Amino acid sequence: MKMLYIEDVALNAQVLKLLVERLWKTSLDIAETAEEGLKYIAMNNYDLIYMDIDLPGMNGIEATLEIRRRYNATTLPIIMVSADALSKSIMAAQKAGANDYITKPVKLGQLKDKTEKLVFHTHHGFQVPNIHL
Amino acid sequence: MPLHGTIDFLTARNWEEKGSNFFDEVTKFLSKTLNVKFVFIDQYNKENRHHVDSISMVENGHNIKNISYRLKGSPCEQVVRGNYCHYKQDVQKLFPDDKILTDLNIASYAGAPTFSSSGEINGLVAIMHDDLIDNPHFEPMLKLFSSNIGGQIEAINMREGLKGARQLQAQSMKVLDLHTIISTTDKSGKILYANDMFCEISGYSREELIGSDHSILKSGEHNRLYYQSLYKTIVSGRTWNGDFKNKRKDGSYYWVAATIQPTYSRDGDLDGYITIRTDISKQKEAYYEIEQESVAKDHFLSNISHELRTPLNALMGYAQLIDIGPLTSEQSKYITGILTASDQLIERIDQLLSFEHDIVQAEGFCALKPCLDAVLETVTPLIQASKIQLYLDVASDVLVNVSDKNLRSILSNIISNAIKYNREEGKLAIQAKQVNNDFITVYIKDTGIGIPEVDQAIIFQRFNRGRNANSRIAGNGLGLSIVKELIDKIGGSIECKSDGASWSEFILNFPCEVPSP
Repeated sequence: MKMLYIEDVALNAQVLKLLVERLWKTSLDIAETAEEGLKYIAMNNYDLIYMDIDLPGMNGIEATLEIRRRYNATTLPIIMVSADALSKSIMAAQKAGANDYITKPVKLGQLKDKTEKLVFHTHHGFQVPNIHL
Repeated sequence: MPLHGTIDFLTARNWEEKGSNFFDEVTKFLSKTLNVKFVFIDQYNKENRHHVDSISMVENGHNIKNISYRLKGSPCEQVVRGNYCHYKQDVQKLFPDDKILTDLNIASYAGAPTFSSSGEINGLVAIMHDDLIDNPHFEPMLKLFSSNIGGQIEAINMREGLKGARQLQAQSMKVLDLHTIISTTDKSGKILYANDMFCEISGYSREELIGSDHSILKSGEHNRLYYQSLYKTIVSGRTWNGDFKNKRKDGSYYWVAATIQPTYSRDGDLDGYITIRTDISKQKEAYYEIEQESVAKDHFLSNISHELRTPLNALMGYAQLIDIGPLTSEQSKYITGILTASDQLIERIDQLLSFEHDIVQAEGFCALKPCLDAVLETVTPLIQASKIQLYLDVASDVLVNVSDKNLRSILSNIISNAIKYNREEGKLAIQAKQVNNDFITVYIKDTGIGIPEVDQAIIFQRFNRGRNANSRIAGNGLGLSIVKELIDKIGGSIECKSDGASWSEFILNFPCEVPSP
């Protein structure tokens, strides 16, 4: 299993990397910008992308749109990982072609369920995260 | 009896040419023809039907000043009851209370009531003399004139009423003209009339407006459908109400609230429209300002949420990593503490945000007892710390129509308040009762500081903590308002009771599903 996390805040990136390593004994690639992430995607064969929204330069929504031009939701699932919990942001992510949405702080259980659903069970429906908004 | 003279008089009707009026001519004519000292015509006083006012009065053939008097005790009182009356002599003795008879030294009296076209008595015509009168012609003469006089009294009253109505209409139109923008159009929409306000607000002169079409005011704000629905409404004869953004001659804009009313010709055909508009530019401006403020507030709250979630992400992430273990039981307890506190913090943030947006959730069914147990489990340490005694009376098979998450949120809010505001070694009682097939009532009663009556009405409002506003007990004043919103949303209700000193009770009604046997 090979996954990429596009996240500019090093601390966030490190936490998710550690969680992923613990959960599936696999390494997580980190890209600090969307532009860098797109380059990685072109060079690697990822199973899934974790995507922050609030990024310097191209934001996560724009990057998702860009990825969806080349890969469909089955070929390359995207999970948005954002501190933005507003329903309109979640809708925007869904519209742009993200498969799912996780709000920060990331919960271990949620991360596990949503990732495994997409990677192992070919589930591609967008599920509204279980938050108040 | 000069019958010819009477007929000539009534048919000539030339009093207006003489600069006189019908009543004065009649009294003079009667005085001369019947050769009596006084002749008068009265009508009822408009405010007080116990009084009459004379319309015309003659003494010795000359018109004198009109008078007003009380009917009671006078011979006229007999007349307005509907009868011709004739008192040939000693009339003062018959009516001792009538001062006028005494003052004028009257000896005899004859009078006939006058009638309106609908047969109502509207006045009288009478003669008085200082000597005996006994003439068989008096009765037919007075009766003949009374029918004419009644009609004339009715006519002047109608003219006066019409004049009053016209004046009122003119005054109303003037006020309306000063207050609103008015225009009328023909059937095709061509402007026929534009008042000063219309010219002033639009910047067009009256000459420019009249003959043109309201489309010269089009701002481009409203789409074709908007105009279509307007047009459909008014051509079908109904009134249309709505707002317009209009463009002035100088290109600037203003907003009006408009009412368009179809007008009809005498034959009942729709022949045009009258439009009344009020300038609402200021209100619209205020509305946009509020809208912008609201956007700014949303932005601010979402920023706060974002800023708080980012550090929490690291905090909770590392705590979860540690939690995977292996850990000693002590370490595990501490980590659980960190995670629970973080969860609470996130919940608080969500609560703050959920005000600005609709809470999205699919409500389902949820078993009350397990949910209550789960909530109680989270507060057990608090219950133990305050040595609160818990009484529980909840059946295990009750389902309520609310999502598990919301039920938990509702119960957790109320129960934690019941603990937070309770006294040391106080009591907490939770009881659930099926009140009917549709509702389950949950009573949550504590022995805390109570809620004063003045606060009971407002505790469900946002950011309101009642008298605890400055207290050291933690809270943001959001909990109960959220509870109320959640309960209202599922069609339930909540109320609170308290003596304001030593207990309070929250009564929650949940729509429920009774398990089928």
